[in-house]
Amino acid sequence: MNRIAIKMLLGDRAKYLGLVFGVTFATLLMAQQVSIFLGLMSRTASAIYSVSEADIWVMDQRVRYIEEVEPLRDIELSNVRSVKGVKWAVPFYKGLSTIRMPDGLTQQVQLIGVDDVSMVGICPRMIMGDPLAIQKPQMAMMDSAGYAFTWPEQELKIGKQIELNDSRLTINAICDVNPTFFTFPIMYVSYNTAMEITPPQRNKMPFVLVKAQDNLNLEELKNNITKQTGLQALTRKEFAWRSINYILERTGIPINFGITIVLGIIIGAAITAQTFYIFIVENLKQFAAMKAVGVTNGQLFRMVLTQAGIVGLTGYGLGIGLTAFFFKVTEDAPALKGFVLHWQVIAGTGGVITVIILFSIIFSLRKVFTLDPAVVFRG
Amino acid sequence: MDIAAKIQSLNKDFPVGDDTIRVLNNISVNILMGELTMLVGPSGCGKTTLISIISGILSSTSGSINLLGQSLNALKGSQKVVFRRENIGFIFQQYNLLPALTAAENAAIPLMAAGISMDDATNKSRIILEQIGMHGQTEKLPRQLSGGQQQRVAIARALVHSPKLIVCDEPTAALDAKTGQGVMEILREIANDKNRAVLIVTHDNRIYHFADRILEMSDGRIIGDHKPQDFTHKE
Repeated sequence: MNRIAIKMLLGDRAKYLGLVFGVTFATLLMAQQVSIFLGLMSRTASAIYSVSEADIWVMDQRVRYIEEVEPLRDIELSNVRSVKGVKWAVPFYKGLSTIRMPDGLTQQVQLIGVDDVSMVGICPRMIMGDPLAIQKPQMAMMDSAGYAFTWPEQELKIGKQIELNDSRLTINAICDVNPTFFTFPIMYVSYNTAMEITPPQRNKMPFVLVKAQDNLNLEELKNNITKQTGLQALTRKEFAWRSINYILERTGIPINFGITIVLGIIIGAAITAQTFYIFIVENLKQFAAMKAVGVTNGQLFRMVLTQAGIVGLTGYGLGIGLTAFFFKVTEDAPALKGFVLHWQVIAGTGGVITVIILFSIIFSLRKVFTLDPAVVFRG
Repeated sequence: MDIAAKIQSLNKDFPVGDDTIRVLNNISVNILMGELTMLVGPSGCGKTTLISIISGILSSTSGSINLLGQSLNALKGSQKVVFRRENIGFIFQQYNLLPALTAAENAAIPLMAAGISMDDATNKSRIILEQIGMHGQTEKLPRQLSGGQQQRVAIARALVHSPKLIVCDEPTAALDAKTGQGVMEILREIANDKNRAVLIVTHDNRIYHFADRILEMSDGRIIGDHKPQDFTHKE
């Protein structure tokens, strides 16, 4: 009877395509929006995860996420270094600045200052130039997406000059970095250069990056740092999640994405359930004829299940395929860089689509089960 | 002749609002094997309700039906479906063929419902279709067939599982006179088999002469049991 079910389904191309479209649309909307949401959240933490050398980030107690900077006194670097169990500790600058280009245009950038000697926190993937070049005075490195954003339609090349707070800098290296939550260009300089070119103020150092001694319990080291310096110490994972949670709690992003995802589910479910229901209702006479000639409710249930399974698998497969295609096509677009379709999203969307399909089946089957086969005798 | 269906004191009520109306009133009749029995009468007299109950699609309010030696009252829902599948063939006024299936596949549905594979079932249905003059039409879809050909497919569907009782609801109503005669000739031949009974509900007085017996109904009662040559149609 399953072959009959498949023929019934595929026999009406328009309705079949309508059903598949409903599931495809719901899948695409959910998978794509959830992936973008997760991508944005991971961007929030990417500046933290990209500093792979450090085990612990030390900062002011009031810091709630990576973009919130509360400068520390310079002496805190030495204080942290003096804590037992610290293998090394280096300063790390992160802040927003505005650059001016030779044509007079300005552009806001994320300025990152890494320790002059160890270069801890430097962009890990070089495209052009030497990362150590920023150890020289007035030299900077920019990420490739930022370069393209600042100088659109220009080929990557080193030697571009920019002005930052009346200081002239030369871009002598270009790297590839995971985008952060704010999509401003990222500019790397040495910590000392950062101190020179940023506006003068009493304290400037926002973070101290710490490497624990081998086999040391990080929890214990964190506690020791806090106890001894009064500063907040967080592992990379903790700081990343604190930053993500801040965005989740303090911005409208999750609500907006949540609404889109819920709308996708509702619209997809409505389209699928309604089309499936109409498909069943329009075939009621056929189901009645089958019931009259001896097809049982159990057989009809399996037929409808087969039809729904085919619609679900086809629509879901197309939806996931389109989502993957979308991210493949946009992988080089700066605004969507780093956004990928995770397997968890594929699985989760599959689960929701299964529920939608089951809902459609239950909604439709009631009609079939309660169908009086005697309707076939009513002209 | 053997009795295909023995109906005794059959009543059927339908609820209408807070009341009920009696559409079949104390019907007692036997349908015999090897006979083509026609059930005639004006619209709304209860013909379709009666064949629905005889074929186990509807339940009676009271009374008993013994069909092919089996009391229908004793069968539960799914047992009734299986009994119907094994013993009754249906021919409907509107054919009720599945538009996405070929003639052979449509005719094979009762066999597939009984668990026979599609290939084996369609092989058998093709043979039946050939026997009733559908040579070369077995792989066509219903929309590619004329009304008469579609009704032949419905006849093949009713015969494919070798049922003892064939129930037909206005089988010629949607057909022109010539095609209707052709369909009735097939049904007449089926009824000549002593192990089969054919029960036809019809308004079509052009086909009365095919019957062995005509049961006349009015207001939920059987008011006459006639030989066709004696029956004067009064509508």
